[in-house]
Amino acid sequence: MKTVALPVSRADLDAKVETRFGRSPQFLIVNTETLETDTLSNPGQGAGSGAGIEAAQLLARSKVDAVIGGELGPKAHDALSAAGIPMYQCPRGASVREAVARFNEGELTRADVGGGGGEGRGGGGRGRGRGKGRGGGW
Amino acid sequence: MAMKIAVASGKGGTGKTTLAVSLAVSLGANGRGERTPSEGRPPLLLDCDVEAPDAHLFLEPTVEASAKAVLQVPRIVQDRCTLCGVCTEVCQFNALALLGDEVHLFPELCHACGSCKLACPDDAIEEVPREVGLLEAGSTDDLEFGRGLLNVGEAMPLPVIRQLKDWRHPEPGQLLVLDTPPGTSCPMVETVMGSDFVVLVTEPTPCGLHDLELAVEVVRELAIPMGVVINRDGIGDSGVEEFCATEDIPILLRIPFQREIAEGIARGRILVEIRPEYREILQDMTRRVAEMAGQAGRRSGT
Repeated sequence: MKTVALPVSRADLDAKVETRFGRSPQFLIVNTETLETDTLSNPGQGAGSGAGIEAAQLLARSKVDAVIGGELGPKAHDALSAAGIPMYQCPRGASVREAVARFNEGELTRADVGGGGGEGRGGGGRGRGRGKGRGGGW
Repeated sequence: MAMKIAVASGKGGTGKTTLAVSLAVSLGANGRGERTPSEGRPPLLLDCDVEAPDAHLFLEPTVEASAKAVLQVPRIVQDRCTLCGVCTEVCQFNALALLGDEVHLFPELCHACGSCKLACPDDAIEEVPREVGLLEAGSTDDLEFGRGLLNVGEAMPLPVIRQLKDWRHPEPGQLLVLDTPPGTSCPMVETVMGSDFVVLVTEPTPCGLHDLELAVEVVRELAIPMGVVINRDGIGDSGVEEFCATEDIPILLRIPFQREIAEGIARGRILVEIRPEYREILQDMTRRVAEMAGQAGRRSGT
């Protein structure tokens, strides 16, 4: 049994999976065997910045095993990776029910590159480079 | 002439830099302007449009000093951190997040407010500098010059503008001319704040008027006296003139829309080189600006 989180605007197995992650109104938490659901409203929805990070932090605290969604912003991606939560991409327009079924069949592709199961840290090397390399003069 | 003049505009591309550069040059060493030997130093021009500074292209100053613009961002001391999460709650920008068994920093979201360090019950947060931009200062024959340059990919120009203004501030008696970022949002406010007078450059078109109206609202809110310079005079319509008349905002100068001026500026020349009579015109405008700023200062008792 696993619990997965999906961004939705309506708490319903037949709701469409939202394409947004950080700005999604809520998350449906689904037990992949029993299809029992729980709802988490997304505190990141109205965040001034870092919505995806706030949402990822909530899901990390809720100890979900995976996230299934449409699009993930780069910071949401980094945050979920840091929390060791794998991300799967489902086709646009799919319902929660369809997405979970395909997840159970192992048909969804991983959205995170090389995050690897549990230990998805990658050592804080999110460097942006101290790049200066401007030519001389002005 | 000790005064701080900000050259601003709501709309981009109206001629802020054209005006700011020529204004400073006309009052500089070769312009002679109002300066007497006792007034000492030539004007200081600061290019505060740190996302796209371009005044240096016209002036080609020699760089004499540079400094890094930095933000003090948190660093978690892992062996003191108890993962209580207080820092992630006080951060209004979601720059800190408790993920897995570590508090993670997303540096580009950090506004360097210091709340996390203050709130941490275990003294597990240090502050370390993060470079976000570059400050440069130099001079030409006519003036002293400084500019800020925000690093590519950074989202927050304010700290660079603030640090530039702190790093190169005018000496007593020195005229300061600020080339302001376009628009009416925080970078414009940060630049204009503390000035004695704001010169709003606009073009006489519906777009120019729309953005001028917004800029006027901001400058009124800041309670700084202002005047308008109409650039590319002769195009568009009479909307800007009517607006200024209704709102009782003085029109300081009209610069005509002329091919000769446009061509010169496209070649990197400045207005007072292309049309030398503008030296005197701008000196005269500055005298009027100084009078208006002085009157406003007396009215508000400062």
